[in-house]
Amino acid sequence: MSKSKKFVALFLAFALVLSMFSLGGCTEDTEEGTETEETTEEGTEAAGEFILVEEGKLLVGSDTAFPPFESMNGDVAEGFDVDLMNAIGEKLGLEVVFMTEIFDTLIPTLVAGGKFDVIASGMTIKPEREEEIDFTDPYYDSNQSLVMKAGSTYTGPSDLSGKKIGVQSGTTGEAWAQENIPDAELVPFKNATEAFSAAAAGNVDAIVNDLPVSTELLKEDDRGLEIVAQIPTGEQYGFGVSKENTALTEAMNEALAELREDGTYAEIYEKWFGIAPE
Amino acid sequence: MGDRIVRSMRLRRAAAGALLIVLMLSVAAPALAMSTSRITIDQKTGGLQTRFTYQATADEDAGVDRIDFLFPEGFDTEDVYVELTLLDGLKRIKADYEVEILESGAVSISFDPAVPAKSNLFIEVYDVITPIAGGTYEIPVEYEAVTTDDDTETRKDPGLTVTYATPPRQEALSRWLENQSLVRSWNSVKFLNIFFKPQHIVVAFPLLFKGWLKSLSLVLLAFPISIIGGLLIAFMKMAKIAPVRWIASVYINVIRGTPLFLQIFVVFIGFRTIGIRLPDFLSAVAVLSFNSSAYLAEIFRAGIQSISRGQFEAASSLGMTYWQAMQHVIIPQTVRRVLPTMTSEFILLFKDTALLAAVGIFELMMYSQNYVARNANLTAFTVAAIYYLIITIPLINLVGRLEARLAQSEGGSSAPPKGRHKRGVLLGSGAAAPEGAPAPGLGPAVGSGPQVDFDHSAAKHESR
Repeated sequence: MSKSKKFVALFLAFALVLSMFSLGGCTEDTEEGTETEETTEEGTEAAGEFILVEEGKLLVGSDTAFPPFESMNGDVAEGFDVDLMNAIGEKLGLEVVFMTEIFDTLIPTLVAGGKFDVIASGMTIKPEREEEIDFTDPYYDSNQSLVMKAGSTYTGPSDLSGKKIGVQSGTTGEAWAQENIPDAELVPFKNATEAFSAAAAGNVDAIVNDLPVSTELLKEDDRGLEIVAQIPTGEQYGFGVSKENTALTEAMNEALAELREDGTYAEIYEKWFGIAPE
Repeated sequence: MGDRIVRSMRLRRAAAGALLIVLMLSVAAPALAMSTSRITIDQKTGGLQTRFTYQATADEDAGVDRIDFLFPEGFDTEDVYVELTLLDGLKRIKADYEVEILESGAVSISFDPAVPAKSNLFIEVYDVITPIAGGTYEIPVEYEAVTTDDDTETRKDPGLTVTYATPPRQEALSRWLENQSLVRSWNSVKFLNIFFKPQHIVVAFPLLFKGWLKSLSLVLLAFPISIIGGLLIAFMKMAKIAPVRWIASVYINVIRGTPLFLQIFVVFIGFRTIGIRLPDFLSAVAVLSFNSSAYLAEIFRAGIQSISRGQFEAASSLGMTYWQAMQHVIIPQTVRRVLPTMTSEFILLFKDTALLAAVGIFELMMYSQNYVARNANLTAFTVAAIYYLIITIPLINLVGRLEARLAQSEGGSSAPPKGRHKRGVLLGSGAAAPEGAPAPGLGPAVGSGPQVDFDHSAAKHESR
């Protein structure tokens, strides 16, 4: 068997795989088309024109290491986002299933489609993200925080110049640190809890992270970290939905508005934050 | 993991009142005076649509009813839009405002009612196109302050600058690609757009190169260390003194029986928490070496013990000591036998460097993850895959050739048929794709000489 034949075979195999992919793309398109037609027929009797990955289920992508918004209690997700999504699911007549994902891949995965329908991961609504996906109406007002070893002094971002700053990859905290701290060496972590472990071990000098999460993570922490500054950013969290699924965004907004009205939202808010929403 | 669950449960139980404390603290948070305000940008190079973020706290004595950003010449503000966030401490408050883009390029934001004194202001001006040439530019800001006696006066917020660089060549190339019709139609296919976007390929390739070098240097440093460590442990495991054997066994079993991921966390988080710390790069090399030496130890031990006892006996009958026999008879044969498995271990170790991204080592995976996070596109993963394959494919090939040569050189014993068999099937299946099912008679032509019988079986295999 000559070498060149081996390469021909390899090339053909590669071509085959590629063509399968492109065929897959075609069928997917037509499937989507028929699905929307079907559902519009159904739509006359039930409100549900949106596309779902799995029928009857609302699959939710989430970075479940972000308490009190979402964290894993054993293999069960819990938190503010989880309860709120469950309540929305109830309104829509769908079973809500949380799937643990890595924060920075949430948006590309949602855009690629086929894995989950919604992002519920304490995600700030930002115009940069809105170019890729849609967001529901905001459901929580948040800010940033700077976490350092207890007793550290901090007067402004220039104090941190040249220091190692731990952030969660793909977050607004990362963007803030990048823009505001001159010559900072950013060290991105997969999730917030890993960043905190690294700070406790002294691998990074400071962490920039969402304030409510830092508060929660440090509440019963004896590793000698504290919030040295609160950074007002006034960012707002929203649930992310694919741009091709505007019907779902609308349905979720409606459900969210109903939950705010009937007091369920306030109840869930108080359960997780201990105070009533504004 | 278990610890974390327990903690998160405790956290929930203790949830009540915590946010209240946060809000109380926030009132006392130090406020930025308008004079310590700043402007930041989200791009590092010029010529791009850029977001300008102005952060400031309104003066103590006056509200603000208009802010003008006087962008200098060269800044294109034609298509800008403004997002505004107004905070009282940490609490969002409602703001009504209108944005006007003046002919001069200035962006003017007027508030009705005026922004209250001391409130925190965030103004994000999106899609300003900056001049391509890098440098430090001053952005003059003027605002109309409304004092308590309803007087208005124009105040200045001077000295606000932004700095960025001239874009490097690959970025310019990426932007040129953006406007090509061929690239556009390529990108209109979702699969190609997500995994093979040309604009990202040209930028990610040079960027990820640094990560590739880091991964490569990690494994090139760690592997020789693990060869020495592996040999040491292998001999310990074959030692005559029982406790030495036990130590080696425990080491091998613990390392091989736990994930590398866990070992990384122990060294990077655990050891450092109790005060043992090495620089990041050395820690990474250490973890990889610890891990790999356990696997290599087993590979070496199996290699040495696979040499028949008779050779030892023959060597000692020639008057050689144990170590002389090892050095002149056993080891040379072992090296040839373990070379393929060692190369495979090298490939595994190289791929395992990816796990170090979790603890903040800037290796190939880390670079590609960051790129993906920033650009919401998976092309950087494809580029990383190519970088990994550049190393692994030639090595995988080498393993195959080493195995074949080993099989040939050890002809006669039980090894050759096994080796030939593997190779025969490999070649057979390769031929199947272009030629369809070949005639069974083709089989013997593939091999040659004494293995004719065996190649028949391979041919049978492929036609099935």
